[in-house]
Amino acid sequence: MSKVDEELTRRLRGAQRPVDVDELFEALERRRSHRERVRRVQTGALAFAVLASTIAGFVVLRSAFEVDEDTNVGDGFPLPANGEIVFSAGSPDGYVHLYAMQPDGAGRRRITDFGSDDTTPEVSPDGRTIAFVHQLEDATPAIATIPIGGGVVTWLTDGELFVTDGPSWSPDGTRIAFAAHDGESQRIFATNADGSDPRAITGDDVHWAEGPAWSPDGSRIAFAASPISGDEAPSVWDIYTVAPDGGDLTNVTRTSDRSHDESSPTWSPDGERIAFARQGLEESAIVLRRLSDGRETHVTEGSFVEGSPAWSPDGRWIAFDRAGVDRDPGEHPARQDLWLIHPDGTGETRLTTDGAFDPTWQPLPAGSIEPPASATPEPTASPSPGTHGRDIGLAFPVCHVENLTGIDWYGEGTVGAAWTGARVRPDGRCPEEGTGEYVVAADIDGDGVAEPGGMGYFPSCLFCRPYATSDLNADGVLELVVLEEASSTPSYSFYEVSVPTSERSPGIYNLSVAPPGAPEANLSANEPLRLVVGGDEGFSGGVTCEAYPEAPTLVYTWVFGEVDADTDLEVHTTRLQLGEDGIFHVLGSDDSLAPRSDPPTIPTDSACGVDFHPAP
Amino acid sequence: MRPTVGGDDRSRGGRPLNEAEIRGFLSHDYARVVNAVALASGSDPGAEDAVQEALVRAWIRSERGEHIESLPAWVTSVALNLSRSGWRRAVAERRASRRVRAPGEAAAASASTEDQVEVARAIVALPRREREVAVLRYLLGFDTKETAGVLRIGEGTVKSSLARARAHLAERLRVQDLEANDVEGR
Repeated sequence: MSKVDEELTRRLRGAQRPVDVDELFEALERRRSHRERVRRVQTGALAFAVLASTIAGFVVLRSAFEVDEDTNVGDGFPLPANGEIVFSAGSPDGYVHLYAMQPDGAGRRRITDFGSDDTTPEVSPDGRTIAFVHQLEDATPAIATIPIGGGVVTWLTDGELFVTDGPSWSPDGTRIAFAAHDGESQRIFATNADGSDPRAITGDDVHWAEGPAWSPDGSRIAFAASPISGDEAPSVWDIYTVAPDGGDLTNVTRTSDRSHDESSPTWSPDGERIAFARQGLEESAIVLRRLSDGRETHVTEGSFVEGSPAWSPDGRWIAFDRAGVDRDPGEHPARQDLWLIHPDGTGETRLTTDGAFDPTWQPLPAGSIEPPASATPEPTASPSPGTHGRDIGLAFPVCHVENLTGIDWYGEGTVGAAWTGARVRPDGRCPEEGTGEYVVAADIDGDGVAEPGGMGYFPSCLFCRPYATSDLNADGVLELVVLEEASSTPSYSFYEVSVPTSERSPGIYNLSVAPPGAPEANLSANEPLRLVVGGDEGFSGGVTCEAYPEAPTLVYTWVFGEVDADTDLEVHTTRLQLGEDGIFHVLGSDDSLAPRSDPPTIPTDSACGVDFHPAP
Repeated sequence: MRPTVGGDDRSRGGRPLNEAEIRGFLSHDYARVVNAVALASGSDPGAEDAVQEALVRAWIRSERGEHIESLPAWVTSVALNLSRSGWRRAVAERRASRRVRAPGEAAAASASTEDQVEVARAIVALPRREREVAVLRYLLGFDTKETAGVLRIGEGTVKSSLARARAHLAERLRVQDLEANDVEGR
């Protein structure tokens, strides 16, 4: 280490804040318990949201069009009508999700419900697709798209670009602009709507570029950026415009007053004015600027911190977020809510009271009265299987997919399927086999795609596959057995499919062990049942069955003896029965010792309609 | 004796974090990591929340079988991402805070000496990537490989960013004199 490094290290380290470990640990435990509780409850919400949104989208489209027939202005050129307002809001699960509601605040619905922060949405010119910033919890944020009714997320950028701010569609819907840090600088980029051909639009003339907004005629992109590099503090942000090819960079709001920051430009539908947020030492307001002569008017009075203005497609409203109105002492950061106001400063209306930000509008082009795209698209094979994963109908592509087809879950003649696989990484590439987040998914209704519920997150799984189905509790509905065939100790885990209830969306769910479990046999209460079989390092196990099909009882036997030891062998036999409550109950567990000279036989024959055999 | 599932620990998942390990992190690493995230993100309250959130996520993930090789590195990586996310979505809040606090004040508020305040301000003035690399190196002591892993960038990018950060910091903190006598080189 050089002397400079040593000096920097010495000066940076030093006295640390005191930490009350007991208090912190208790706080963490509370947060963890809350998170787990919320996650369990929320697992069931998405399917209903998707179905409801499809219906609601149709209704909103129709009603909005009917209401706004008289909004054609300008030179006889019809402006799009106002559809829903799409926005971001925090959730009790700790993530930020996308929502939509009608412009009067009614009909609020959730669009995304993933383990991610989904922010800065913008709806495509045809009103069907939302582009947004999608950040999984430990991944580089990316630009992604999702149908406005919810459904499959498509990543448009990879981990090479650290996306920092929201997308903006070109008026013809073919390109999407966004802000990202490329390792050197934060610039405005644009990519084709399918993620191909990403190009930097801004160079080194401006710094910390953010908030791109494509003009209605497609000839300019407005954005906020600092004319001063990050090395010079404090930086200031002005509103710029630039041609989509990066030429003709223009500072629109340059003033000699360096005490103001400007952000989040949005164009009027006629392209003649830009609205933006201005924050300074004395004011914080939404401001309109006429491009022809630079004349500015204040839309809001500036009593609060306001941002993210979004001009409505019909030109009559500006939606924006406002922070600090109900700020509680000590709240950090100040909560934002959505407001509406006419461009002339009248008609100010509060839309939300429980926290929301980044509003945008769904445009409804004339003649677009038709339902939005299906929320359950047909599964499509990736152009490069193995690299980008497969779309099986979940909200993300899946890699290392194994399937089991021809499953009639309810015995009604509907042919479904089951899948296992690893969730694709945020950069669009597949994780290594056996790493990443594994999912188990099922097609219950026979439409060829996985139901959204229950896929959850499962521990990494090596060579997993849906192995067999059997009615393990004699209720007429099949259960799924998943085999993990790693090394010489394969294991079986068990899943049930679920019809929609108030707590669960249709999907497939892990089957657990009822309390008190069988601790001596290492079958823990409330944990998913996982039966390890095969032989490895002195361990061998097997499964057989009794009383099938009337009252199926799994008989799990395993034997263990330390390798190269002369102690007796541990022998455990546990009987389990799957109840109608969807939990495996331990009927009894025998624990004994056996001499090494007389090891017990491990049963490996077919059982309960499943061939529980150790993998080779 | 519990029957173990074979395979190496990396690919097969690990055991859940236990209370002693969580408390150990809180005692030995928590304050350092919070300081690092605060400096990297420029938000002191946000850093504390981000680190606690990352720690809870590590805890939950470990209970689901995910192996976390280095808790400080994992928590730092996730907390930095969380702080970036918050930084991105709270533009209004960021700008508002600038009205009452000059840049660097928030992070500097956690520094206790005049010397540290000066360093904190110098760090906050760096471009974001240089700032993150410098904080991981000088405050948390991560080497190039660890830093690349935490930030999910290439080792070459770490080296070039650190070189630029180092030059900027040396200039701002007036440690060029040391550099002149630096016989070990860079």
